[in-house]
Amino acid sequence: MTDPWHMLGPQGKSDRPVWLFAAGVAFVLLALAIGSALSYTSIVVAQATVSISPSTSLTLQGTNSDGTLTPDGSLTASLSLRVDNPSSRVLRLQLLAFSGWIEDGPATVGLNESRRLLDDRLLDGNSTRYFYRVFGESREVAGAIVGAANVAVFRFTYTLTHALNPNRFEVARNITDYWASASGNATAGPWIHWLRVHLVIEGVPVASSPTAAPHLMTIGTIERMDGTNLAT
Amino acid sequence: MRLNLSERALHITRTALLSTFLGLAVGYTTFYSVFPNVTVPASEEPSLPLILGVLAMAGLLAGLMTEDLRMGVVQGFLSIPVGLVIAFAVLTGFLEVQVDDIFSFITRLGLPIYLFALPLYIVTGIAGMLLRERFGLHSESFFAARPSPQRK
Repeated sequence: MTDPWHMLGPQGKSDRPVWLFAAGVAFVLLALAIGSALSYTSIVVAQATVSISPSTSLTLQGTNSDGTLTPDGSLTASLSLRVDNPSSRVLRLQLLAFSGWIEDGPATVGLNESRRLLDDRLLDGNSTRYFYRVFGESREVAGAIVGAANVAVFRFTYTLTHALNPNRFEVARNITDYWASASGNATAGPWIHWLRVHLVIEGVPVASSPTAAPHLMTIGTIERMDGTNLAT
Repeated sequence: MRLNLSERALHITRTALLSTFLGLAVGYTTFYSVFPNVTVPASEEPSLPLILGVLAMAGLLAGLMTEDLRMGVVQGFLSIPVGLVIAFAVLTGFLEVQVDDIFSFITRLGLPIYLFALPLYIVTGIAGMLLRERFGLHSESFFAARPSPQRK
């Protein structure tokens, strides 16, 4: 009576096909591991090398002959944001937070004591300088792509008018009036900006579950900041 | 004597190859479990069926090529440090990064995979060996090790 467990009898057959199949599986696993290593490397390179260089300019529209703002005028900050991406990953600009302060001359010299309490402060040696936040907003950006190994420049404008924010506009007018009288130029007041840029690395799925590990939510993003944040 | 040494060398080579194969599966699944959104293929979160599938298939294949239970268990144990090294190599990639952080990632976050892989490899390895017995598979050529009296 033969043992039913041995289907092919004692001679059996070679296990070479199994070895060949295993070699194929090992090759696939190796390829996936190398692909993963390259993917991880490119992401870490992107996170380490992407840089931003913003520049801002302040312009006044609707001014009097002495350069001061009229009540119908507007204050515009133009932001030019250059994103340098030396990595092999495509990036997408997702979120931009921008704040702009102008030195509150009247408060600094003691002409407006009440605003000192509201202003943001900058310690400069032994003295304190007072800055008024004229702009402060964050916005989601759509369709702003930075190609792999590429440089992209994005332009944004922030406008303040009486209609948009009467209180803030009047304070801005007061400050620009001060600088116009003190230095002859309404935009001569020292200007401080701060911005935070949130870039998404394309092709990296973001974990949507609230219980996902924190590193799964952050590995696909790049955050860069520039300037001095005076907000308290 | 010379024949015995040669057979022993073949046996060790075979065990090392199978341990590396199992370690490759452990290393890949460890990396996948830690960074599923970076792995190829990428997904939002690690998929347990995929991890189970890769480990079970590797264990079963290794069992089909293993000639005795003792070496099957040794291979399972050896695969863990091999997997750790592979996951470390994948994570460091081609970078000079903070090695301490990465080592912590692999050992701490990969621990469930290591703990899970060992018993799974033993179980699937035994299943593979039973299948090998059932289909009467035997080794030949340079991978042929000494006959295994333990199996009889």
